[in-house]
Amino acid sequence: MTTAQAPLTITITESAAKHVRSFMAAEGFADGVLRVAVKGGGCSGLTYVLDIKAAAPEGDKVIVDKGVTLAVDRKSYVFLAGTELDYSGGLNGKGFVFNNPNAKKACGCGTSFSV
Amino acid sequence: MSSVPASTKALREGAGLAVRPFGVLWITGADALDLLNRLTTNKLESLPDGTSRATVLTNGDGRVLDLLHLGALDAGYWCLTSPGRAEAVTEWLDTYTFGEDITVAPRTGQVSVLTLAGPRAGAVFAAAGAPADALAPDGLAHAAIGGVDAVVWRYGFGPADAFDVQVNVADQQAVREALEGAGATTVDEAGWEAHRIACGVPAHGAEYGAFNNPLEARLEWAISDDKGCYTGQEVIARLQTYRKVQRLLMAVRLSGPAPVGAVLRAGDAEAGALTSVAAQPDGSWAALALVRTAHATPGISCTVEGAPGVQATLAIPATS
Repeated sequence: MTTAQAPLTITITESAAKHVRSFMAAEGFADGVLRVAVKGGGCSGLTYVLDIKAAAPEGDKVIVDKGVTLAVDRKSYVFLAGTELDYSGGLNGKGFVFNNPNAKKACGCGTSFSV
Repeated sequence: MSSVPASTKALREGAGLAVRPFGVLWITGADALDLLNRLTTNKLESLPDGTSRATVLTNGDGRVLDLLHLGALDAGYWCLTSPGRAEAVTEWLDTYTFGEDITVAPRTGQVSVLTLAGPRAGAVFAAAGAPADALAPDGLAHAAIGGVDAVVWRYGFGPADAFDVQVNVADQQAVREALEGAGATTVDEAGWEAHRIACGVPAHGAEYGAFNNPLEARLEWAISDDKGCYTGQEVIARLQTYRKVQRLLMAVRLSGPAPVGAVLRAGDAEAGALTSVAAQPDGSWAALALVRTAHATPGISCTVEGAPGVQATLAIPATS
């Protein structure tokens, strides 16, 4: 018997990619990268961070998906491998959502997690 | 449990001097305070040079990794940890550092900390050439003691001021002699422990640690309730809001000796357990205990398992 493994990369949904491209254009970085990172803090210990940059910082792992270039620093990647970045829109939407298979627990607001 | 040396009286009536086995870290970097603010319970958005603040390092479940004393000086932060906890604190900070500009340098073993405490501590300090009045409460500064440059912290410990004198290990003897010459009485570890327990001050491994949250140890004074998110905040805020703290630190007056860990019984109910016990200079026995919230009422009398005939009377710890 084999079990399906989550791909060890970071992916982005069409919905999220559309919004990222929109934000990039608004900030004058139409050809920029979406920096996806983790930082210490938040209720559960780790917090997601999204940032738009002109280019990927040196040493980052670079992934291109749905026409968006994602850049992730090596340490954050350990906690983010397999994550799908989605976008939850509408009146009750949450905005960008991290579907992170490594997260064992998340805080109420969903921006902080622990592994 | 141990007998209490007469020198402990100095901590009550004069000025006692004890070598303290704190872990010592020197933390620098432009992002150091921000990271500490995100990972610990107290508000650390700013910590001006010459000031100190206590804060609790908690995990995501709101359990205590350690109570830290941070002091800003010389463009960095001295951090005093509980004995034996410096390495664990360093590893925790390293785990949660993602590209931030922060360096945590171990100083345990290189730096020695002597605590001068008691009602005459300030006077002894001044006699040693370092006027205590020049140092604000919860402040720290350089001071020359016995011809040695020391970093001195001032804070409240029990009913009186205490001063932590931080020096290079090689200078410890000279500073100690200078303070003894100014009237301080050296207190050994057992003597300090008896004083700590009498003052109701909790310690890592006994009253707080990975086995509980900081509210059980009455560390609210090191927790900000309006700073926003930090690791463990959701759990701690929920415990406070819904009054779900299961146990509370209580001071205990014992009618005789009893072992640490002994269960306290209120009638047939298990009320809690002794966490620290020490004989006092007047021949009495003082203890600390973590007591179920339902029984954590001053004046309640309990029996002590394993100590036949000994009565335990609960009180609110003096420092709470």
